[in-house]
Amino acid sequence: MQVEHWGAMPEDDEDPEDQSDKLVPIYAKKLMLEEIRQRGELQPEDNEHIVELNSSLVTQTIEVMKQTEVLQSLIETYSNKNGSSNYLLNPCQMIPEVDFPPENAADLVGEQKFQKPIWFIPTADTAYSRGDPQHYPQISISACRQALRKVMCGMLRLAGFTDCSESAIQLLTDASEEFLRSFICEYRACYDVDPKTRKSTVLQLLPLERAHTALTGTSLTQVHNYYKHKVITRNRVEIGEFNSVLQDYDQLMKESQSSMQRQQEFNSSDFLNILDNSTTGSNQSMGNIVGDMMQDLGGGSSSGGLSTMTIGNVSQQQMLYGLLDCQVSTSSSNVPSSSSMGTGNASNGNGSTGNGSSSSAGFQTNFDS
Amino acid sequence: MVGSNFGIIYGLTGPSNQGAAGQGGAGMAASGGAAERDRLSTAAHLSDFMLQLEDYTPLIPDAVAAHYLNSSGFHADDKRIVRLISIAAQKYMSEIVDDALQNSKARTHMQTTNTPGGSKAKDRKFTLTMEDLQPALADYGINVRKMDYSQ
Repeated sequence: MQVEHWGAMPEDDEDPEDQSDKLVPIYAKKLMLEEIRQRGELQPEDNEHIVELNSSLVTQTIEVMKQTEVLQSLIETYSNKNGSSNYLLNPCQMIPEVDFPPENAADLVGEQKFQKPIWFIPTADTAYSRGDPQHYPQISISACRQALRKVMCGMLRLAGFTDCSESAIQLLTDASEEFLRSFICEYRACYDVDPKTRKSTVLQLLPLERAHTALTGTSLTQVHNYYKHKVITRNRVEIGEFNSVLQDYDQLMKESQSSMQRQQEFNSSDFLNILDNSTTGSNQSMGNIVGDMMQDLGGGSSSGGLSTMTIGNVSQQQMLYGLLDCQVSTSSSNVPSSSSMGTGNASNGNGSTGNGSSSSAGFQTNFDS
Repeated sequence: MVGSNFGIIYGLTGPSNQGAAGQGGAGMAASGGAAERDRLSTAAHLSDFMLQLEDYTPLIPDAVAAHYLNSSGFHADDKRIVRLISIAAQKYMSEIVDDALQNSKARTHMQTTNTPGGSKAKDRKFTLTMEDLQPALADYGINVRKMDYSQ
């Protein structure tokens, strides 16, 4: 007697036909494997996408702003404190030459396009204007937040901020994310009003305009004004300011180069001119040069000092004249007396002249002997 | 729908087209009041504007706007709409940042006038703080409140 237990599973009928369905023969496995190999090895799906912030206009504006700041700080460092562009602070120090890339002042957006009203601009037949489908990579929410954070940093720099607190950046990122969410939720709500479009996934313009008006109270056409006045005009203004600061810097650099050149000429050629004049016997011009040198060295500014320096110059001139005469052949007795008289006067103004005259007198006596 | 004029009819924008629409006696002209005409006129300008958006490079990447569109059930494959959403969001945030800058300038100016001998170099530097940002966000309906324990 067969006992039937409650809840017992019914025994399967083990038919040979059913077994053929369950078992996979080895040759069939081999065929499937070969088929998979022919398809190629399965590659893992690439989920890494690079999201770039490629607004060249904003990037250019920020770069130009940075370089303007660099130039202004250099001008402040090397020019004098009176505010004029005279290079007076340290004439021995050369102003560094700064090279800027030529794309700084490049015209990235056509001026005419944003001067005319929108409806006067003929539409170019491009993939964009035709609205060809574009595939965007699917990015995660954290990647979105990271991109928005970078965008906020760029916008802050564009607005004119130089620093910001961490919490402010976080808050702006949250605000922009919330705006995008609520804007698109409002956009979806415009679709949901009409039963025909409730299940639609196609993007349309008119609901977007309604959603933007509902959220901000302005039309989407205001976006054009924003772009024209805030982005493009800002770019032009910054480039203009950069060019004017660059001109100032060039002027300053020319002044510095000319002053350096003057200094070098004085150091090398002027002394050579003295020697040349001494051989040719042009005593008057040599006296002037030496007089200028003495004036530079003495630096007297008062009228009394100037008069003594003039007398000192005359004595120096006569002293050198005497030297030259000695070099040639003979000397007159008037020269030492006049030079000694000159030194007497010059010693009132400058003591160094007196030493020079005494040495010349000594030289002359040696030569005579 | 892709490549079409987004369903916006130009018929009501000009007087000649208005007459033609009236003769036809069909479509939106039948129900068109002045408000409807204005709305469609704006939409026509907007449609023209849409086609010119290629030169407008938004700071917010298109992929970010497409992500939020996809999360709301849209098929974000039209570059024009995606770009318009990006620039609209950029404009909104730019207005907030500009207001915050004005607040920061006012605050810095007050501090400079109170402190004798403020330098010009420091006047060019502006730091965004929560103090400047909170009132700017409040003007746009975003109220920032600290948690109870941190007050």
